[in-house]
Amino acid sequence: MTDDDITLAAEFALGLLDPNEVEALARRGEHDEEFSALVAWWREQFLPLIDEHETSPPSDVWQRIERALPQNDNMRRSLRRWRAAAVTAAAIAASLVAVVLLRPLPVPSQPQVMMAALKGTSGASATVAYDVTSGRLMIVPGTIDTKGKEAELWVIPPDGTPRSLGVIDTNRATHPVVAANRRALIKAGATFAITLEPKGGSPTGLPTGPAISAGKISAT
Amino acid sequence: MSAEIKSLDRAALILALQKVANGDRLALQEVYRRTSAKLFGVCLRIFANREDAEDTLQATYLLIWQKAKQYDPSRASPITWLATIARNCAIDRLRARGKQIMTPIEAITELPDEREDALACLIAAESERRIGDCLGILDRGDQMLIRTAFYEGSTYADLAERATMPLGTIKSRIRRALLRLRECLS
Repeated sequence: MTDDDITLAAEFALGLLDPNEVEALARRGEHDEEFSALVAWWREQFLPLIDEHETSPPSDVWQRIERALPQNDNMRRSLRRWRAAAVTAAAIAASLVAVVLLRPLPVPSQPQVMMAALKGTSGASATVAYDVTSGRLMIVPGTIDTKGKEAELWVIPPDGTPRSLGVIDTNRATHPVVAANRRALIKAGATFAITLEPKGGSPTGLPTGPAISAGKISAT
Repeated sequence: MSAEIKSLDRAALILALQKVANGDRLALQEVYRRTSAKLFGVCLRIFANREDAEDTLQATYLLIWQKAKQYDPSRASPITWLATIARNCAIDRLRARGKQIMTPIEAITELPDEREDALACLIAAESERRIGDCLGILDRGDQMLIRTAFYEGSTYADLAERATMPLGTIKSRIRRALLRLRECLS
């Protein structure tokens, strides 16, 4: 990237450019990964400036937002399920905090949590986090239609060979421990993928069904 | 320890956004609880008037509700993404109204240069390089231009008008400052 690209990315991130230039650059960002990474870098750099002005909004703003959300007829029925999911996720988050806080020797230079947002063409989604310290995954399924089969989670390291992390529950958040021989494979740049497999998981040790969702792992 | 807590905060926020994408209102409330003070700060920088800032904040979370599906954690941290939405929301609102709210930037060229001495720069370089420290090594006028651009979403044309300086001068000044920032930050 040249100096011109560096300043252009900053100008775009700051909003210094006029609308025509912004439009042209937004198109460039769609196919120029390096340039959009540079824009993201600048945004991250400028971000701490907003901490200088944190102010709690008055309490009625949230109520106004809630009222303005689209109405949902199934609200009451779904509410219980949402609450249950929120409680589960909170419990998992709390246990993850406990695990990290109890860790004896922090190594600050190494990221301790790996994350991936899994997405698929048919709308299947999930969020998978991996806590390096405890070797546990945190799997929060979004909407996944298993079509009567079982969903199996895989990690695909740079060598391209998927390694199974086991079948997963697609109805609730789970918190399984990763087998010791798989842990080193869960790294930034590797991919998590979900495939549909027969009951009990793939019989061959390699995916036999279609991949319905995948996402790159990044360190948080 | 704070680095771990920060990364967990981030993970929790990513999870909440993912649930917002699936239409979960409680998750939106969780996102609001974790981020509204920061985003309200962004709105207040752009609108001195609290009522405008509150309306913008409301619009921001409604937009987050609609756009959560588009959030990609591999491209930006969740708070950067959220702050960008708040900023864009505020700037759109401001532009829709014209420029009457813009106040002049006072005599940028006359500001005393408060650049820290070489030793202070070295100390800053040794500690974690953050935007605040790096802005500090720019001269005051450049610093103010960049802060105004960030906080108020001013374009080059706005800045030139407000600082009563030629557009070309403003551009080359800011570009030079941005390259110095890049050097300091990386």
